[in-house]
Amino acid sequence: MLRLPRLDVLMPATLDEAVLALQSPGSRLIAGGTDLLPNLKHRLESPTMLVSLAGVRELSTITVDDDAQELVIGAGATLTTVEQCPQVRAHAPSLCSAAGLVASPLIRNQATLGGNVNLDTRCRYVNQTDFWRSAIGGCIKSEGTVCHVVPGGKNCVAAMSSDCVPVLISLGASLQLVGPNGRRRVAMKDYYVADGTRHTTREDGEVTTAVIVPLVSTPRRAGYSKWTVRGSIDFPLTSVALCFDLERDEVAAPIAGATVVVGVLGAKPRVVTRLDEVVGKSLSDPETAAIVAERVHRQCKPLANVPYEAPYRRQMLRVHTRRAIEALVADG
Amino acid sequence: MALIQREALDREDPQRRVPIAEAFWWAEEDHGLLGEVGSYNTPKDRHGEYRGGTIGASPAYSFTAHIADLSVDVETGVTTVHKVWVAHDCGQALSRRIVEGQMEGSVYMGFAEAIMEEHVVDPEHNGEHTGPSLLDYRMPTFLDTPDIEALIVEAPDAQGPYGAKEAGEGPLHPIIPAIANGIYDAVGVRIDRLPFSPPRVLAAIQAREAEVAAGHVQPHKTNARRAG
Amino acid sequence: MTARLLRFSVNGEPVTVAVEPQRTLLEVLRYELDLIGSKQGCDKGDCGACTVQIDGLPRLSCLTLALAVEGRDIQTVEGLGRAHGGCHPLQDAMDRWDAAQCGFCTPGILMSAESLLRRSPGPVTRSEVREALAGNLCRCTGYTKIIDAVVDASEQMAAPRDETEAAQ
Repeated sequence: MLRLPRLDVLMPATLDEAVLALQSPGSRLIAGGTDLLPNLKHRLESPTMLVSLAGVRELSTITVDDDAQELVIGAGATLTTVEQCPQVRAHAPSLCSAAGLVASPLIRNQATLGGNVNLDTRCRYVNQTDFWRSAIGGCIKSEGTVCHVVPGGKNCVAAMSSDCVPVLISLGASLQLVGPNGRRRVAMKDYYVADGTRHTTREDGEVTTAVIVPLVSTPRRAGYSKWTVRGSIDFPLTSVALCFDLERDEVAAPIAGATVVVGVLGAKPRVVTRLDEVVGKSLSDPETAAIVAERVHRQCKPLANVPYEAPYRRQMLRVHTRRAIEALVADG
Repeated sequence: MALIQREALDREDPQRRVPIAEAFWWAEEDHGLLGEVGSYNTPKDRHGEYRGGTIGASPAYSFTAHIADLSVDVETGVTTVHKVWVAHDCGQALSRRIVEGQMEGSVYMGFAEAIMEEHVVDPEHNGEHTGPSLLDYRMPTFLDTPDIEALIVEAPDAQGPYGAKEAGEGPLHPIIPAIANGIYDAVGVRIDRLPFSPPRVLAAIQAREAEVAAGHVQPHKTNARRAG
Repeated sequence: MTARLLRFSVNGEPVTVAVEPQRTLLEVLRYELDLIGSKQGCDKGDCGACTVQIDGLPRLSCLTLALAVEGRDIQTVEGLGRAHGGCHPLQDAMDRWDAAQCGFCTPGILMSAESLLRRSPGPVTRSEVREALAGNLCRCTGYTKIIDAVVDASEQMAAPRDETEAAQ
């Protein structure tokens, strides 16, 4: 039995009321609650008031803005909704795959996309009961001062463990945030920072209101690869999103642009660099998969922050990247 | 009389029927509380001549055989068990579905130990258990568990209650060696430590490949077939 | 924290209950309303034993703030058989197949499975059952008899068999 700490709950009906409520000290936003409530039950945060978005209906719509050429997904849409939405499937199929691989069907019925892009970083030494943590004196992300993953480390390396984030960055998505100072938009590739104790640039009083994916008229193949021990419930242990823009609408066509993003390393997802070498090569050329897999393997170094040996996970990044590209080619 | 779909009915004349609750009511009015008490003790003369040897000595032992159909991914070390057949001699089966359920549950638990479950304490962190919750201690979900086909073998034992032997723990044990043998058959490596986790299986495969490259061992049949 | 009045519907009946804001829906169901069918297992979303339906969708009551269900319709295992004269066909099938051993996961499994059968009328496949129940853990059965029972119930509901005939 895990009890929540004593706290108050506010149920605003509109976004404006929610933003206003968030200005009181000690308040904390809650959407689906599948990440925050376990963390509160584990005493990882101590807000005095939760501002729930459960009653804010305006955040759940999914629309295609033809003028701006954007897919606009309300942050309150559940992952089940995102996975099954025909518009998302048409314009961002790799996001459907990622949303459908998060945790379990029960969690996806409840968790929101806005919550998933703000999922707190995770670590085997953090996401435990306070009783468990007390035996090792906590760490820099909880009650202590040391890092159990990187001995002597001063920077928290808890892992960005969202399935949707790498995909959204690979698709060039941005976030709409609303706060007391108004509305702003931030590219998701700039939203995350390499500090596990606070890994996004969202201000305390801000609410993520929408995830915006640009529409493309040129041919594209995008996919997501998640490896974990079980077929359900688990967080990813390796996580790779791939997006290839092609010169023609067939997998044999030359690649016009490539983006690969890897999660579950440190607090910040890694955008793999130096992929220019595959531009101009055919996606179905086996050398393409080999080159991309090699770049991922060289640049991504998993840590012992989540279960399973880090060297094994690094080796697997190469295998899963190559297989993800082979799967895109096989799908045609 | 038969009890079906919450009704008690006369088997000779099925149109004569009443709700089950009413039938029990009548029966209790006529006979008092409906209940039965029974017990079974193991024979007194069956025990070992050693300290503790007299405790619940079983008059008969059950026998089980498992077949596991599995594949091993040589690039990731992931073992996927597709189907398990479990044949278990439980003596006389007193309730076939319940016996099957015990056999299936046993396969599940043994399969889980073979593939993913592990109690690890971390000596570098004050002996903390690394899997203290149902998230970090991984039990197979509906999506991980193989199809299981239970085959009851009935060889009643005169000493057991109504001829029964057992169907609880016996059907668990053979699945672990069955999976270990399956891995050996697939890729030629013997893993003698649980669980047969992907890093462990992959390390064994790679070590064997190095031995093959050095000419110390023959390629495994699968490798030979692939090379051909 | 001061208790607040919460109004929602449980198994079709309107209820009003005073709850402290930090209570989960599971705690209110079990400890305020005495609906102890929904189980408190891991209490953090890893096991599915607390599954109830909120506006028809299976969700985790251990990770739902009670105050967030104001005005919503909650179905628990206690209400499952109400429209079927006591037992839902799924419950009958679980009984016939001996698909519950210790029974702790059974209420959660039933609530996930009922949602599947409502979403996909007609017989369901074994793999559909596996997908739909992937958030519900069971330690006893090896899942086999549960899958058998859900498939059987879906066939029963699509074309009810007369068991009286079968018994003769």
